[in-house]
Amino acid sequence: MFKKLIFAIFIATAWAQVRPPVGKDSLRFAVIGDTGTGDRAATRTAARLAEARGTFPFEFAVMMGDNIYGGESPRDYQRKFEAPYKALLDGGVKFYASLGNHDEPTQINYKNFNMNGQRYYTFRPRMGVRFFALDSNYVDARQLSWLEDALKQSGSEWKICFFHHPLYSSGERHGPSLNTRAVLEPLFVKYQVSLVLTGHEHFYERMKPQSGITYFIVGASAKLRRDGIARTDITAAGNARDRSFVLMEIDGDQLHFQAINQDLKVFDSGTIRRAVELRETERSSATKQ
Amino acid sequence: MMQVLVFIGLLTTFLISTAGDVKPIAPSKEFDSRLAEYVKLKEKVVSGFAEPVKKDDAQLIEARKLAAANAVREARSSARQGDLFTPETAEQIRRVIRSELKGPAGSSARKVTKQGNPTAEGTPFVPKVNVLYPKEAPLSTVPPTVLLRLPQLPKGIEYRFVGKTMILYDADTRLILDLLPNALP
Repeated sequence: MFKKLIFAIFIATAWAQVRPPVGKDSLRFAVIGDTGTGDRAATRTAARLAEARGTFPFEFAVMMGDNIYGGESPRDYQRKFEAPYKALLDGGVKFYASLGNHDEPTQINYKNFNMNGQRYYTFRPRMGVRFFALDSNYVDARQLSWLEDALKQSGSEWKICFFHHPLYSSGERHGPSLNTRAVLEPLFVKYQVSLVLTGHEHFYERMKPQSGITYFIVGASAKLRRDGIARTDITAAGNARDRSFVLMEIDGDQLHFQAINQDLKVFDSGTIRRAVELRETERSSATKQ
Repeated sequence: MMQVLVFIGLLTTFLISTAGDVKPIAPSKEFDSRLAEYVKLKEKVVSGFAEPVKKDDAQLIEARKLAAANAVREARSSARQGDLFTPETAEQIRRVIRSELKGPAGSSARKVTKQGNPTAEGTPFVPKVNVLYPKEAPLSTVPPTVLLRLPQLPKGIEYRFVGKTMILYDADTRLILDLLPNALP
């Protein structure tokens, strides 16, 4: 009885920590990364994400790659994705995946990843907001040309790119993918991308805006590299002690985010502004709270 | 720490300034025509396999992929190393890789070639022509600055690294189509 009471208090406290959406008709989504282990930690983090949806009802989730580690048999898809995320799948949440270095490219045909047979693709969940999923394992001329066309055509919408390898990172193991940054960042800047979401490093990191763009690493939704993050001048917030996911909400020209750990505790939050004309000045007001 | 950040900044500036004006090397007509022949063969062989009706069925996807791979393997049963990489193209590719990976400016690209490379990731294997890429092995990342200078491949065929060897990889069937040993310095 006493244990149950303690548990109830804990849950109540934890629920209070995830904040409900700010906007009534805002677009809400979750960000998860490096999820595909199918182990207890992955299942637990997925369960917390499903619980958080009770407070923060999000429509879809974007996946930062390494969606299925190791074997990719039908049983692996079941054990490493369908089972941990069953509650969300049953609840109608759509998942949009990008490919990590541990993913077979054939994942593009898996319906629950909504990639429609493409290694890189774009989708617009709502008027004025467009996502671009890239394959950072293989950024060739064909993909760059596609990206430039897609960014150009998207006009003045919120432009959000997501893919596996981080262009900025304070990770001690991998660090930033400078070679990929050299070819992608000029396009992001030119076409006024607001937000870039990545994984690969098994921790959470939010960068101070770089050339006006806010970069996140969300790579600890299953695996965790404890203390794998160094302190650098580009870090706005970091967490290499907890498994985590991020909830985001776009409300007009503002994007509110909450980074949440496996105990449903918000450890980083803030607001990013979309200001298409303000490339010259700092346009992110993201602040650690 | 400040020195490290300054170095990274300078390196990035250099990479960005050089990435914008890269042009791929002109592939030999022979390389192009050999690849086109392979694509034609694959299309012919795979055309008999129906697309899975239910695309959420991972089992169907896997079964189709394996059937296609086996059919292509059979159709190319006499495939040998060098069937696709002509000697001229092989030399061009090695030259590009050497130039992109050399010196301090190439350090980032050198690092990228180890990401997902089965040898560096602890799942080494010896690649062979017309053999399936092992399911348990990750796929290497290929530095974009290298990719942008290599001859463009038909859709679905990719350059990848296994150890120091470059392979031509068919992403639809997971088959290794050809090898270029010692592509990485």
